[in-house]
Amino acid sequence: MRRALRILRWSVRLGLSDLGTVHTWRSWVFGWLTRVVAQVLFFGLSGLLAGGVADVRFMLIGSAAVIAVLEAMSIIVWAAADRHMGTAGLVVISPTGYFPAFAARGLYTVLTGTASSVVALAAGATILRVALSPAAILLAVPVIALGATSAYFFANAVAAIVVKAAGAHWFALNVSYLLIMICGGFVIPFDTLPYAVRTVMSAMPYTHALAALRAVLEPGMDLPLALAECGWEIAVTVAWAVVAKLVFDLAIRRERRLGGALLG
Amino acid sequence: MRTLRAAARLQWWSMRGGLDDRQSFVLAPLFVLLFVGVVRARGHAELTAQAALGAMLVCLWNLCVQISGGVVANERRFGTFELTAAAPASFPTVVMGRVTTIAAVALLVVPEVWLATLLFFGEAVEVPHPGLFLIGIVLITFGMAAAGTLIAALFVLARNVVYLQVAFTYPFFILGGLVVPVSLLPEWVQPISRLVFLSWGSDLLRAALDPAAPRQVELQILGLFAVSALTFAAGRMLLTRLVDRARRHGTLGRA
Repeated sequence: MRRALRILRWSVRLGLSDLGTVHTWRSWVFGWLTRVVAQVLFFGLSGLLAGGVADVRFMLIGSAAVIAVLEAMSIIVWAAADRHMGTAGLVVISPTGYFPAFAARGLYTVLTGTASSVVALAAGATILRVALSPAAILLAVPVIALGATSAYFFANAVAAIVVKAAGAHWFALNVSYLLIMICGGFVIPFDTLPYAVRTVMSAMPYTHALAALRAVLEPGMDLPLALAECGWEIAVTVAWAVVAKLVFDLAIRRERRLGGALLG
Repeated sequence: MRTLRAAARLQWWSMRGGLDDRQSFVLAPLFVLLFVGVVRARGHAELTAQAALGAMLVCLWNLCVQISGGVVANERRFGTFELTAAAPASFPTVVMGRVTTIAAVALLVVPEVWLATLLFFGEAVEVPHPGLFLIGIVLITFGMAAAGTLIAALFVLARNVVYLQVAFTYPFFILGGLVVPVSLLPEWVQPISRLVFLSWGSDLLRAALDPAAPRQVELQILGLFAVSALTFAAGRMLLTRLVDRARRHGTLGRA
């Protein structure tokens, strides 16, 4: 247990230093946060155009929630960077095992993704004049974090699949993100999607967390429903964590056998 | 002219490389699903053409930002920025040749979005004023080349290109009136929005898709041309100055 915690601690520290190479506090506040607030305003205004005032709240919640998915997905690009820098092979041959070290290293994306989502939600609600109580926003934080964690493990599985595909990492990130956004009920109401899509999406990350988030943030907060949906989301998160580990283990075993590029 | 041709050839060659550079073409159908899906799910099939137009402009803009931003970033990554800046050919002319190629190739998105709308939603978007649409597309291509030059100039200063590229998306989707027309934005935003060539371009293309007789078209054409020309002049001047500054300070290789 102490060993696992030590790996977690060092990997998280490494991840935070990765974050430092991407953002300064100025670029995060004036670049990234400006962009995420603009995203919720864009979809909020689209809701106004397409459905009227009632749809603004729907679009605001969905477009703010999906930002955490986008940040969690950035781990796909980091897996490739690890390989290009030649550090993937070193971690693979260490006694720790690649998956725990890699998965812990990107956990900061869950934290920054949750923070970005919450800021976008609060700022968007203020600008678009959608009534959200501070208590509801506070309750939304753990729900968004749960959805982001679920999306993070899904992103790990995608990362393991595309890690060797040269020049396709941003493509994999954007396709995964857009498909989740389109089919997960973020901006298109879930009940208007075809039955087959809804069935598949119930096993995909964030779908249940989003339902819980809407239960918390819509007028007449429905806490029992939110809790039930969070329970489902935890099950989906665990399932994707297992899938991600299996896919990484398979990829590494294959690369070890073939002396492939993941380790080179 | 020879420099422009060589730069265009180089850009064409580089765009044939990795999937990441061409991803906007693959993502275009997904943007159609997203934007048209949003309006149709709410029973507004009459907004399909407008939403498809939004998807098209978003893809054009994304391509412009991603690849134009990558012009300087890749020169840095491959360690060729110093060599290009030291060459006798003017660097702004090289960039102009490259971004014009990008803007021209990006136009493939137009038929792609039309086809995706037909395939996914069974609606063939009609263009009641094809001449106006063509004028709009030609001027938007000029605007994109101009914006590409300005973006490439800004990226001389950027340390992390990817996040700057990401930041250049949604604020411009709003200011450019890509889905929601500028006239529906708050009044204080509208003058700012008019400094973005896309705001004139999206109005012009919307007028070309509207069966009603177009109004104030001359103003929109003039606005689109004037803002694009100003953007181009600003981009060229900034690029010259920033590259000279980086050369003087010995910082060409890093931001």
